[in-house]
Amino acid sequence: MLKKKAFNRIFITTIIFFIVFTLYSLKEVDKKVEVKTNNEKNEEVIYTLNDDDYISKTSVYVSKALTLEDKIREKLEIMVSENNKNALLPSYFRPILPENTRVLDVTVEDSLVKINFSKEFMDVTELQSEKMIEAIVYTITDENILGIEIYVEGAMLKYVPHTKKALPTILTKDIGINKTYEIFSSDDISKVVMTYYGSDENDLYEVPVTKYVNDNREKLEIIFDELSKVVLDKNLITLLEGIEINDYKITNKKISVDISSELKEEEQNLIFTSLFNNYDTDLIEILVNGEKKYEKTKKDIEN
Amino acid sequence: MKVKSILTKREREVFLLLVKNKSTKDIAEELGISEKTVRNHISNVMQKLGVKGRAAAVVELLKLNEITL
Repeated sequence: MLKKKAFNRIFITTIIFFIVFTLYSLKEVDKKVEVKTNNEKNEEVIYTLNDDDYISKTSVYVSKALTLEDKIREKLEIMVSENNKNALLPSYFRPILPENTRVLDVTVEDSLVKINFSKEFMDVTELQSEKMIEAIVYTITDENILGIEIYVEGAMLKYVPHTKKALPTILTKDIGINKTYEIFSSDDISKVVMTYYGSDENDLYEVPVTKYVNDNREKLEIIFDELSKVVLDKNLITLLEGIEINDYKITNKKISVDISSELKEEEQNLIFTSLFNNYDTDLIEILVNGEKKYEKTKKDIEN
Repeated sequence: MKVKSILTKREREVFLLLVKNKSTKDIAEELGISEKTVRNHISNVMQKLGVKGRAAAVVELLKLNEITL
């Protein structure tokens, strides 16, 4: 009897021990799986339409294990309408490539990418066609990829679809984005690439706009003026208020601008991004009434 | 195969100088043509584009990617 009782106790203890051990092991496995999943994805930039029809900057998570060609393909597929990958886009953004567009081929040679799309690429509307090209160029070009060539069923795309707008052979960010033309004279025309913010209630995201204006001032002055405007079209947010330029200096490698008051981080980002859009410089520093406060390199912005 | 431009080579040269703030006289001197010829080129382009005024022509040419800044 004593033996039987002891045996039962040992048996129950063993069962309990086994259950506890199993539960503990599963938790450890879950942790490992969770850590592995986070490490498998990279945050990648995508430019696509916001609710106001601006091509805007957002991001998606893409597998780290993909080759560069496959990563490009994946990003483009996320940008195809009515594609099950659209769910990866944040809710305030929508895809811009026409439904059923396939990426037939992607090749990368040095800093040039060649993308061959299926014929459905040409189903884009005339209204959206230029924005579609801009979205592709801005999504794919980065500090390593300087230009792209677009093909449709093997034929190079020479015009913006359904328009007479000629395209350069190699497309770069020089083609502009969300272009506006405030030109009333053929004199003193300046091309300025601004960065504004859009808002999705919770977050601010960047909206780049290429502006053509009649203004012969230094682009830096135009940028600060523009970012200080209170009212802009269609939900573009500028944030800067009452900021005045005391002085500035522009050299090949560095821009230094002295302003009248301090900046919040979101305000700094707008200024740095807008300046780097327009100046081929390595470093920008911002002083406040003579005291150095903020500094960014080109690499900081690209990352 | 090159994209066919709506501008002739000379018309493009005239407008590229125009957007650099060159006067009709400056453009004529630089291209070695008369001021009247410069005005004719500008007028021809405005007609091709169906616009009135130099500014409107520049805007259309920028939109068509016929000229860049």
